[in-house]
Amino acid sequence: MKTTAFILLGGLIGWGLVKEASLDRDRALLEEIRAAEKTLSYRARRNIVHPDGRMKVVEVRGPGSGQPRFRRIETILRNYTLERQGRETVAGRQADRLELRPRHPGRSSCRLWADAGNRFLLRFQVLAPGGAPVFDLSHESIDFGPAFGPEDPAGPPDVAPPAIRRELVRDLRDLRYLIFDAWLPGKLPEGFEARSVEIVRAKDAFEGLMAWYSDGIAWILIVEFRADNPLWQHLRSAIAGLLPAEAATPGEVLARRIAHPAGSLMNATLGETEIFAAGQVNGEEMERMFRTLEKAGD
Amino acid sequence: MPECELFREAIFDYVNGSLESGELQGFRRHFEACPTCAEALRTIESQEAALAALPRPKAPDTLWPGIRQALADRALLCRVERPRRRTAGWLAVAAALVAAAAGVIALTGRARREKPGLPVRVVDVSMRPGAGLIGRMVPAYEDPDASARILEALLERDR
Repeated sequence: MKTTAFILLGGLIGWGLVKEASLDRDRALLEEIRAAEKTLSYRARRNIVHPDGRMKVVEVRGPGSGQPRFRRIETILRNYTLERQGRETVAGRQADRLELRPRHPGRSSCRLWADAGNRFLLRFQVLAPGGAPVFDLSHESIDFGPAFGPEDPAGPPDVAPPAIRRELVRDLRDLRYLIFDAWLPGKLPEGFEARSVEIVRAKDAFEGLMAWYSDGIAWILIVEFRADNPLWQHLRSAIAGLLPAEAATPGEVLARRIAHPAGSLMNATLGETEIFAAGQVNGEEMERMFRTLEKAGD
Repeated sequence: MPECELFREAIFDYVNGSLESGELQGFRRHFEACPTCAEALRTIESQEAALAALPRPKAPDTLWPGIRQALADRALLCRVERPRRRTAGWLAVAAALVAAAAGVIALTGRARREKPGLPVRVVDVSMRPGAGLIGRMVPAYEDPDASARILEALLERDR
């Protein structure tokens, strides 16, 4: 009996140590990929296929030019497992293929092709839960070298104050001073963390709010402003004519949900506040989060 | 951190004579080279001298006996209260356990009531072809901030 208990305990400890070592290796690899994006000087020809099918080919120079960034590696490791899948050739270079698989069902997974030598991300692909690719960023060709820094900006910097100001909210109680009621989710989809809340102001008294949430790879953005603001007319024109003929009954909130290849969007009017939530989560998760909206700043 | 800022942080340590010899050399080098910081040091030194020249008030003779008595009274109070506090302590622990048990039952039992959500009726609508603007509100994988820049662009256009 004692022997069995000791063997079990030893096994548990051993398993824990192995798991910890594996996490350390995953962490180190993601950190190398992040560092490569920030520090390597390169010029490349990049293809991007967006979720809505738009394709773009761009000539880019780095470091740091439009690559996916792994900002919070611990958050990624909490919400995704990293699998090594062998070696392939991308842009004429040897690359290790990796896959970040979500721990939570219904989320997209990501495939990464990291240069075998310097860990630069040569290709990044997002796959919907069913396996269909929804985003693909890849390099046709790439050269690394100290001479290929980012191109110098043309002319002197613009000294005029920005027309649009974004201010980070450090205390949510400050939201009570907005010209509309701010609503924030009481419960986020599993694994998501709040990243930032910003107030956006334009010279002619436009005031809006942007709240950002992420699970390390997927993002959700909530945008809010007064429902009678002219900006909403631009957005409304994109979905006008598609609204149902029925109106909300008293006491009810009518929310429109729009499916998107990369996730979903929801829109509703709460009192005098127009709310738009858009994110890389499916419609069910978005709806569950939407239902937990509560007034912020109280 | 800029040198002047480091200097300002170390000024009072210097005036009190508590800088290490290595720090002292660096400190002296800076105020010999920086007229602004040298002026700040001279101001502080003159303030210290002015404060030191003020008369020190003498404590009354009854001060220390009064403090000693207050400490003794407090000790007596604590000793008298201790037996009651011990009983109160056990009661508090018991009450906490009961409350915790009630909390667990409330959370896991049928009596649990979740915070009611918004009364939302969800209607699924389609994005019409070409309505790329709405689609771009979904954060982009390569640059999540692009969605925010679309809003900024709309605001610019609208002005």
